Amino acid sequence: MASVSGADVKHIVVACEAGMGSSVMVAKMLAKQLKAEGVTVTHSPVNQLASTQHEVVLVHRSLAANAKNAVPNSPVIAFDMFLGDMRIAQLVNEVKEGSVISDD
Amino acid sequence: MTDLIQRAGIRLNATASSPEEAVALCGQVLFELGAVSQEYADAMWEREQKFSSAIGLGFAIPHGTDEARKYVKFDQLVFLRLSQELQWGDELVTGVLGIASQGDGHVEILGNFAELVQDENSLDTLLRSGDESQIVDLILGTNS
Repeated sequence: MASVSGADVKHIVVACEAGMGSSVMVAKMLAKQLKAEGVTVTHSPVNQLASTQHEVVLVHRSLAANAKNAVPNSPVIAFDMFLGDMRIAQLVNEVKEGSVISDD
Repeated sequence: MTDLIQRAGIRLNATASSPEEAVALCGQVLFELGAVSQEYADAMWEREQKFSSAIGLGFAIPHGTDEARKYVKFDQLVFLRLSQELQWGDELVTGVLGIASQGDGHVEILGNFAELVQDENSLDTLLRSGDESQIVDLILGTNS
């Protein structure tokens, strides 16, 4: 398990497979929601995660194990739905409130 | 420069009896528009089998693999509205946004699309409008 304070989050990377579709869409939506917090949201193929700058990784559940393998020391937050996912909404709140973000 | 989506890329009464046929039709329309070669169209189904592109709320956004980007000649989106709802993985799908992209040129529009499908009025236009131009403008964000 890994965790970080929401207050320290300045870069979130959304991990994906091809980097063209749904994860890119999630990254775009999240970027909009966290713009006021000065958080940069990017996207990256899972196998290139290690070379990205991030405090938190967000990934669809089906790729979560791969993402955790790629960056074992980073909090890897898994979501289930591309639109209206509760865990993503929670992540937005954790960043805004500066509370602990953990992937336990 | 060609717009990312054009009237010729909109099919408002598309017929497909499976996600495979719907993805193939996206590939075919992209091919006919000259945006991709057949290899890309094939890669779209390859990608779909690994991981469903259904995003919920009745929509799917199929696209190729990272390796297949080299078969994209220019960035382009196509939109199919299916005459019959399809079971698509765990979801039911009536609207299919097919994506061909060499880079991140389509990302703004994809973000816009996610907002559209979550907005009641825009969703109604996407699902019911008979006017291709109206749908193009909506997806491009040029009518607001």
